[in-house]
Amino acid sequence: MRAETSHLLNALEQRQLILVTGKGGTGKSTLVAALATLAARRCERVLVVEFNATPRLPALIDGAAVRAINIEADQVVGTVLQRLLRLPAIVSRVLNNRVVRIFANTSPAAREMIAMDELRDVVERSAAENCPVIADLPASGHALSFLDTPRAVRDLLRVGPIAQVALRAEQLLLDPARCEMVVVTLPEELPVNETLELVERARQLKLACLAVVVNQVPASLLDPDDRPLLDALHAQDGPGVGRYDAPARQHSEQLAQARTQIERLRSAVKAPIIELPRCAQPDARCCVDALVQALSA
Amino acid sequence: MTPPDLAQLIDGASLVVCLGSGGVGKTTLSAVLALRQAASGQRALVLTIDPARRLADALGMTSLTNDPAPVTSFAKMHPDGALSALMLDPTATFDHLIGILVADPERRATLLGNRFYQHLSRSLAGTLEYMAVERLHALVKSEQFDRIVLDTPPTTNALDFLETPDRVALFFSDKVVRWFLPNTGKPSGGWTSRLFNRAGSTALLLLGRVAGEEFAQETATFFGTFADLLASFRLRGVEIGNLLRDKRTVFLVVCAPDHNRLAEAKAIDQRLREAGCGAAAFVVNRVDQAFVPAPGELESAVERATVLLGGTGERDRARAFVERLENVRRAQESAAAQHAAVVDELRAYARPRSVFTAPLVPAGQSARASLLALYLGLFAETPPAGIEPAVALAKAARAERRGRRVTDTQ
Repeated sequence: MRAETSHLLNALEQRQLILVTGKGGTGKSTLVAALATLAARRCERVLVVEFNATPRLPALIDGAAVRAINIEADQVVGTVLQRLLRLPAIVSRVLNNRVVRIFANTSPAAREMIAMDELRDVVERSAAENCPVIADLPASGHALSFLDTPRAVRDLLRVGPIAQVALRAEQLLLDPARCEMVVVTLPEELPVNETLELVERARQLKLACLAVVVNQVPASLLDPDDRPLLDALHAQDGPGVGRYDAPARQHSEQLAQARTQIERLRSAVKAPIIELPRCAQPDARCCVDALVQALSA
Repeated sequence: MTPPDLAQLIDGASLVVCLGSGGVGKTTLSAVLALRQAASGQRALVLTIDPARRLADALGMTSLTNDPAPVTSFAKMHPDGALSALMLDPTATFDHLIGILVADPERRATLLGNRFYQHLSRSLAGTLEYMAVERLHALVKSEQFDRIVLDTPPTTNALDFLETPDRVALFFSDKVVRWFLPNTGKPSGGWTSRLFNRAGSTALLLLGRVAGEEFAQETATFFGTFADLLASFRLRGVEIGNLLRDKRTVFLVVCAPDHNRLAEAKAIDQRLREAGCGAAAFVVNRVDQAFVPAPGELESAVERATVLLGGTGERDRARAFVERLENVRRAQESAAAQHAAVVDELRAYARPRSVFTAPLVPAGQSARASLLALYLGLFAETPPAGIEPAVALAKAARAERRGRRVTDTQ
């Protein structure tokens, strides 16, 4: 196993919370499911968390050791307030006060803070049972806003119970011994641009970056010498290799593009870069298995 | 009646909203749709939220700003047509809005300095969506443009965006702010005077209990300063809601040809329908296609490669080479089959609405070439009059390839 990969797998076991984010469509959920499967080989129990209106992880995970939960602000607001205020009578008064309810529903950051506190609580309870938590965060920009919520809320409120709650969440997120982030990307220009921005902003927020995973790296179906041969045939008068030319050329361009983008990442990012192969299967479950295999090889 | 093609659909729409999960190519598609409207003689604007340089590059601009800038790199468009582009800057939009709404410089300074306001406008999640709709509203009202294409933020479920106007309206509704407002006629009374209002004082005390006294007070001050703006904010929320439900507003759901994105596209459509404005059509982007070799096609490729490599002695090497090319083709064929299955499934779901497909643009091309390739892929049958030499070149290249295919199979 490569050093970067074993570093990643050790962290899965040792940290309380692994945050997974990246540009939309890079395969975050698939990677979360694969990481959970690998973590379950080392830990008795693993918890995966998502923040989706339509949960996707239950369909991707397997085995009794991995549990999936979905945190939605609307669902957990009562629990969070209960923890915050401790007195059930006040909780129900707050929940039943229309003004406060509308305010909590519409005020920016209120929903994020509610979800964040629930995540923090879940992580602390799981840590007590040596159960690592892997969080499937929203896409980059939103993930950063979400991760920055405790700081922003603390800045805004300064004192009071919610500021305390925000502080506890911030302490968890910024402690590299407890929490690290994995960024997922694709070997293409736009996802790499976004990843470089994301890694830089995460550094500014002082979030520890465990690894950048380059997902769906295409495997070469051609030999290195094939491209000059293609070009020579292409340059000749006449049909050359005919219709075989365009797809082969496209494939070769795609591979070159992937290498260029991975090099860009390697030269700009300090965190380890882990490449994972593209899975040609349409079935998401098969892709999870393929990632597990690639990561344990 | 045959369903309208994509050109007809967007030509008649004053507002096109592109929705879809992240990474499906919404931004480039939005620019292409606006370009098409401009090419057919409209004053079109693409409003994007994607800070990526690539769109600016594709449009031949050094940068995009919060103000509409004319795109001049597409020569010889329709005499009446024009394309402009704008990249949303939420903070600038919010500050600008305050500049318009608060005439008194002192009150404006108080508001801009209020911590609640600063967080609302700068660092809190959700501001991007708030401001995208605000900017949209202002642009529609300005009547500077006949057509606007909106590239929506890549929200988790792509639809927080839709609910934002209602949330804005609710946020600034009487229910929330009534008890924060100073009494009319006694503006100096401030938020404390509201403590005499029973409902208000309960809410304020509870808010103080949860969020801290200081926050409750800052919030009260914020709403107090905002008093005059509330009516206009509420009105904006309602107007934006109406705009999104207008029959000349077209929602396009953009999707990529895989099962995850398909499921997400359907979920977006469901939520749209619940909100009373279902998707008018779907666009599946990056659909791959493959050719099926004719009998003897592989053998003739082997022949020609053998000749190039130096004659019959090299036949085995040539065969191995062409077999690798065939492997590439087979991989493409299986990808194309998977893509076709997704498109079929979406067609069955969307009926009678249309599902348009856009071809996969080969990797490694410039931003501009990719944009033009997408344009051709979507509007090949209705080419705009002399939109640009580059398009003509791309068309010629396509025609040439098509011609070659014909000669090859003969």
